Amino acid sequence: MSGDGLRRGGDAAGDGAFSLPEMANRRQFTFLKVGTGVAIYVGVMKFQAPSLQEEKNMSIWNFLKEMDQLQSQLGELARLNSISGWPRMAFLPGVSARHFPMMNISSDDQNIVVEALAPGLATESLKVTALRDKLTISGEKARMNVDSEKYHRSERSAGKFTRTIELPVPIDPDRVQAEYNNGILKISMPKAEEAKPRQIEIKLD
Amino acid sequence: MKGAITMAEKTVPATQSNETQIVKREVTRHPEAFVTPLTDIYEEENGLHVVVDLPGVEKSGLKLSVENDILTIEGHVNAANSDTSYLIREFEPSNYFRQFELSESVNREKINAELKNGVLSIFLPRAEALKPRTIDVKIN
Repeated sequence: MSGDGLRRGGDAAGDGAFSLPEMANRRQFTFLKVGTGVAIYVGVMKFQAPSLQEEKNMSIWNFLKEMDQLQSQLGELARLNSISGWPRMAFLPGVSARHFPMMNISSDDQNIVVEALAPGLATESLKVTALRDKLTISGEKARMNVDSEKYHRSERSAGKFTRTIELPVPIDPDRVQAEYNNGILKISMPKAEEAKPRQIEIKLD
Repeated sequence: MKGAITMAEKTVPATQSNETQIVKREVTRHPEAFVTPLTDIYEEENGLHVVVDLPGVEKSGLKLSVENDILTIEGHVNAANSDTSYLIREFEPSNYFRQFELSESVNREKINAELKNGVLSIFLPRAEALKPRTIDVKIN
């Protein structure tokens, strides 16, 4: 048992289990031994809580904070693993059951073009931010000012959204163009000069 | 409620997951594929509002008709350029189709619709005779 009081559970027990933040960082939830402590199962994942002998360190081990971190990691994991037909972890708060807006990304020699399927956006709320190889779209689909009891059917979602995607190559943020037509947001981004394909001339003697 | 406008649906209800699910040509033997657009319907005193998400549909591609008490919404989108190379493809542009049955209390002559930013808003006014009325009561 470490004396500094900062070591986390599992680790100190010497049973090979990772502490929660370590596991969250590793993003791999495999080969956990069931030690003397309590194992928590989340789906196929198992988490180890500290065993009894470590309880004196519990005041330092901030359970709520760690669960919070875990939750965001799990949310990300669920998002990455959301294959259609699989249960999506939509019950985790703050995690959407699906991406919004949905995007098609295409590219040619000069440009990367992103098309986002986003009908009914308030154009003044729409914000597109491009930074090197990251593109962020945020905005708000206006919520209609109608009492809920007046609805016969409510399928369209509404509210604020933000989505960030990573682009395969750096872009030139100064020459990004965006247009919003018929509910489809089209952003075309010229590739940065150094990322453009170059033709190399071969000299023949 | 007497005189309330009700709509029975004539298509498979849309869920969030079938929003982008396209009926493949092989399945339907139909030259075109359709998806059910997501729809909100709400009722106000003077009629019903139908709000339909139709991203990618232009005014020229929209066909709206009422025939035999059936309201038909049909939206056509321009087919994507097939030689585009996609890095990520999360949706395919698809045509939309949905039908609703109108009740007798809708005034068919005065239906109007508006298409803006890929959202179609249809207003189905209540027939005059069925509008709620307030009656002044004279007290002597």
